[in-house]
Amino acid sequence: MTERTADAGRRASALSRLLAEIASVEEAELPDRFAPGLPAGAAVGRFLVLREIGRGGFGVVYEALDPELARRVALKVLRPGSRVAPRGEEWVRREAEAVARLNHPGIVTLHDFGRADQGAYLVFELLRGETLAERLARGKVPLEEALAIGGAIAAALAHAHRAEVLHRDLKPANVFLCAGGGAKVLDFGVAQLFGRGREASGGTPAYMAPEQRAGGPVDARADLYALGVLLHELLAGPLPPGEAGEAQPGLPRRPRASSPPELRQLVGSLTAAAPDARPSSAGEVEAALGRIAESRAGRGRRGALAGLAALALAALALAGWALFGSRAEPRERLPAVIADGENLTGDPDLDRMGDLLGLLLAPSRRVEPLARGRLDAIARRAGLPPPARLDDAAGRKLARLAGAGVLLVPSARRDGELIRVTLKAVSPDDGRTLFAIEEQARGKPALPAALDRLMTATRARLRERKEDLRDTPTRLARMATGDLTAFRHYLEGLDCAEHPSGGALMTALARCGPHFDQAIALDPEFALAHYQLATLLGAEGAVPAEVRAHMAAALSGADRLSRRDATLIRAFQAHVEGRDDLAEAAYDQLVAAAPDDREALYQAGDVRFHRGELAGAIPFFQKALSLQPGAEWPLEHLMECYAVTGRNRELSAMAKELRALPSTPERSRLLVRALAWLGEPRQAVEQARRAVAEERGPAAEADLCTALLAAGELAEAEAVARRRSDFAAPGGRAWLTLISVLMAEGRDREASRLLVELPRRVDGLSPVLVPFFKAALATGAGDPAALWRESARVVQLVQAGVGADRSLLIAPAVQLALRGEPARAREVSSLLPAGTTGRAEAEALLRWRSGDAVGAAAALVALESTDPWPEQALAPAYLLAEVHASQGEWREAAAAVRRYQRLWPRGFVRSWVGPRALYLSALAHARLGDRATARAETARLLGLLDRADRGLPLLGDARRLQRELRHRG
Amino acid sequence: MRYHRRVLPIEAKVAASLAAGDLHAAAEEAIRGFGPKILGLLRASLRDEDVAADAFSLFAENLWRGLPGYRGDASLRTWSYRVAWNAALTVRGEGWRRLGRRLDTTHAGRLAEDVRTRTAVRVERQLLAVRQLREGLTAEEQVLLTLRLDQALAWEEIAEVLSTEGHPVQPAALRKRFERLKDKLGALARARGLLE
Repeated sequence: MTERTADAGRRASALSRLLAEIASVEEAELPDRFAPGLPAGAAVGRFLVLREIGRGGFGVVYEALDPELARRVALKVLRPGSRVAPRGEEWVRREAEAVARLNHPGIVTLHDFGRADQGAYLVFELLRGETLAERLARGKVPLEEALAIGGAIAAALAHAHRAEVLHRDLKPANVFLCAGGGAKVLDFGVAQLFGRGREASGGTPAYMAPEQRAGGPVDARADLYALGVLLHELLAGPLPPGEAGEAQPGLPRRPRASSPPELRQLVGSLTAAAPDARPSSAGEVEAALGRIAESRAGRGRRGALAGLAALALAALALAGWALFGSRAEPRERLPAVIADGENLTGDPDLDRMGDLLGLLLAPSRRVEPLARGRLDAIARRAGLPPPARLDDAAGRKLARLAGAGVLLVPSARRDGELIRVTLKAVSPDDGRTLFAIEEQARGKPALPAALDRLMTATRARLRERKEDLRDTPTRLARMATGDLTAFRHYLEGLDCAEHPSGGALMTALARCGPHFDQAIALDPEFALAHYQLATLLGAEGAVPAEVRAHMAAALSGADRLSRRDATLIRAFQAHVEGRDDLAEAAYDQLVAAAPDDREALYQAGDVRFHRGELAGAIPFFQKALSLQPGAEWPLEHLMECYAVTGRNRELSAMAKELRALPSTPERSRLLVRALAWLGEPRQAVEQARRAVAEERGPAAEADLCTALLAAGELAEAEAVARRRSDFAAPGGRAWLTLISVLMAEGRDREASRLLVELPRRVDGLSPVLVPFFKAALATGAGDPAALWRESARVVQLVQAGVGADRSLLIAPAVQLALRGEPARAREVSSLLPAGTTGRAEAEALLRWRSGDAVGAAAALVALESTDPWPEQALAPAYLLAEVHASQGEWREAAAAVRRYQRLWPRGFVRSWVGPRALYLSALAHARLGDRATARAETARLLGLLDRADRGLPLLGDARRLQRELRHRG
Repeated sequence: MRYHRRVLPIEAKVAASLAAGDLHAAAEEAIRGFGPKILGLLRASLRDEDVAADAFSLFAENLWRGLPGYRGDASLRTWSYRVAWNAALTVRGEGWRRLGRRLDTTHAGRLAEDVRTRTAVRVERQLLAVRQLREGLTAEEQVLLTLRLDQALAWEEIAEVLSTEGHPVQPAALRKRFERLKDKLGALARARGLLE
């Protein structure tokens, strides 16, 4: 009795010790900015510290004396050892120049910068007064004052943005209210110190726009978001502690009752989650705040309005002169909306003049045509349906909303043999015609040259500099095609690829490819059409040679294209050649140059996606979707990014959205997958059934089959696989799906028989696929000799280049490493490119086979975190389950199986692997003493293997486990 | 008892600075006094240096802003932990989106490194196992354990820390959660052979 009590006591105290150990947290050294600062009298360069006046994210600010100029200054010292110090000097060199460019009464002046023993330092004008943060802490700010402060900040931002300097960390602590009146923005460009890689840390969470928080590319609109939060605080008081990071987009939560509705509306639009939903420039915000202030002031003195109106007219006249008076400053861009225009020629090739002219304006360094997608997004934000046709009136309305400086309205009419094309430039504000230009073409072949002349003249009238016009000439025939019919087909192809998928049987290639084919038939040198066709072919896994042929044609014309189009083509070529790092850099460049370029955004995301950088891809797809809600390709990729990276909240929201949108085959398929990833296999199956009922076609049938596999309904999966409507289709996809299902059921003999018959039954079957699948069968059956024989055959065919790419070597290499002879496995895996998931998996498994299970597990854990759902290799989670089980690490093995089971089955990942993983889980639960789960899983496994071949090793294992559990239980 | 010696002077200093109207000094005292432990806890519970650093920055900023409104209903230490926990929740929500994969890889890399360097020495295995047990805790569970066992806060105080606006936490519920957590960790430790 005493012994037992003592024992219990020992156990309790051992547990207490353990808990204390887990609970114990070491004190951390505080960041430098909380450490004591420099004492008064300390010398920093030639400056003498007088007193500390504040601390920021990167250093300490002192009031200091500049003895040379006998003036007091604010001295900001980047503390060595702080997180940003290593980058500090670099910033001081590169960014101080940019900041020094700013010269505005609303921006604190940078006098000097340098480096001393204490760290890199900056010298600013010394301000007297208090920060807005301090002012807010004292209590509410009167509305008039709030409007004045907001206006001053907006004006400062507008100036900086024109100089291409972003703030990135605008917050009350960075706004200084001068004792003599007026507000100044501090720390301009300082956030850039953090560099692109750590942009997110450059801001303060509560004031960071969603895209900045997400670490994605940011532009001036991120500063506008911060301004919105700041205005919100001015209206509603400081955010309470704990909520400071949760500023919600939309109207203030506690708006001051007296706040004018237009001000609340402005704050709402500034803090919109989508950058596009925000005002387009700081200047626009400044003007809006000015209007609100004036209207409030005007209540008391209506008489002043007349004067104001006169002033406004004068300003308009000035703007009109500025628009086409003299040459623009370099880099001064003029956003333009191009209306669809009026085609009175009766020739359908001129129906899309707006798109045509938009393409012709693309190289302009002055005029910035606003893409249709962006205008649609702006319309949606304003609560208007995106106009089906952008006529004069709709164009003006959108141009005003978008802050465009000019609306261009084209028209064309026939006059006998002559075709007259006219372009009218309209002021979006008042509808005045600023100018109109007409060109004529005698017959259609002369039309492209007439359009070139028209656009060159337009660019000149819109103040494009002569040297820019010379450097970037407008030449339709060079930039696209001289054949307007080919161009029409090309535009139809682009439309097709962008719109929700239509008919039942059609893939994007089948539906949209013919448009590009027609364009190429009319103009075989039409580089952009070749490029678009190549991307479609690439997306559908076409034979690489076909993709390469179109890319070769696209590349040969790339030099003639706009820089943007040429970059797109070269980047895709880099991707085709496997140089994805180059492709990624090129796409990033395009996105940086034009953050609303949907194609660049999609491609920048796509290249990351296929490199397994899913988290990195997310902001690009999100941005692309914000510009074109419902676009299928970004949506599909974004869904998979959310799913694989475990962002279930976002995934659930997407599933909800998919249910709400009108059903299309693609959306329905996405919903099936999203539900499966969300761990709702039953719902996924139901949705897949509905999809098949609505749109009977191979894609929906394949999804139903996969959903059934995921739900463990193998018998029905087989029935569905057998009912597929495309057994006659070339390539043999339907057959291969059926074979995979049979493998999952343990019916290897029938699978094997079908494989042998396949070459006779299917046209266009890649000969590699037969040994490829036989190798998988041999792995499942645990037959190393057959595994090597078939793998060797795959290697031989791939090396001979028989219509197959090297990715088909991945599965054999991994399977050999798992089950075959290690020496053979090494041989095959050495053929895989280094750094790929498949190769890393094979190497990890070989470590395991040579006795280093710990090292193998470590490598697989790392792999799972970077590429949990590889396209070609086996899921690292499953391989981890094998490694852990071999070491008796049952808890880890069971957890790994759970992670594996969450993955949407792709390829033959669920063929023999699914039942094997279920067996490992049952075994692990049995060993952990969780007999109920072990029994249930064994019963389920035996159910799956109900019709399996007798003598299947897995069947024997499962029965043994069942007997063991029965015996012990 | 450990904390009384250290903490009481901090509370007193902050109170004195506040009474003198010197918000700057009060915030500095509070951050320098409670900061090291709070940053340690943020690192332990959020398990990412950068995320913890961001949460700490937000905590410092919110403490600064909130200090004038601090009414002394809870002890300053409890209130500071509450501000820190709110900051952790905020940054964690955003951090996951922002850092996503990097978080995964650093975590995995560290784990991989741990596993790689682990030797046959039993003590080291135990250390690793403790670390793994810790890795299995949610941030909430880690904070609960630390506040109760390491910081010896009363249940009412912990409830105050963990309550967020509109979601009050009851001390009794916390106590039950703590017991369940103890049981869970005990069972896990036994399964791993750390306890008999």
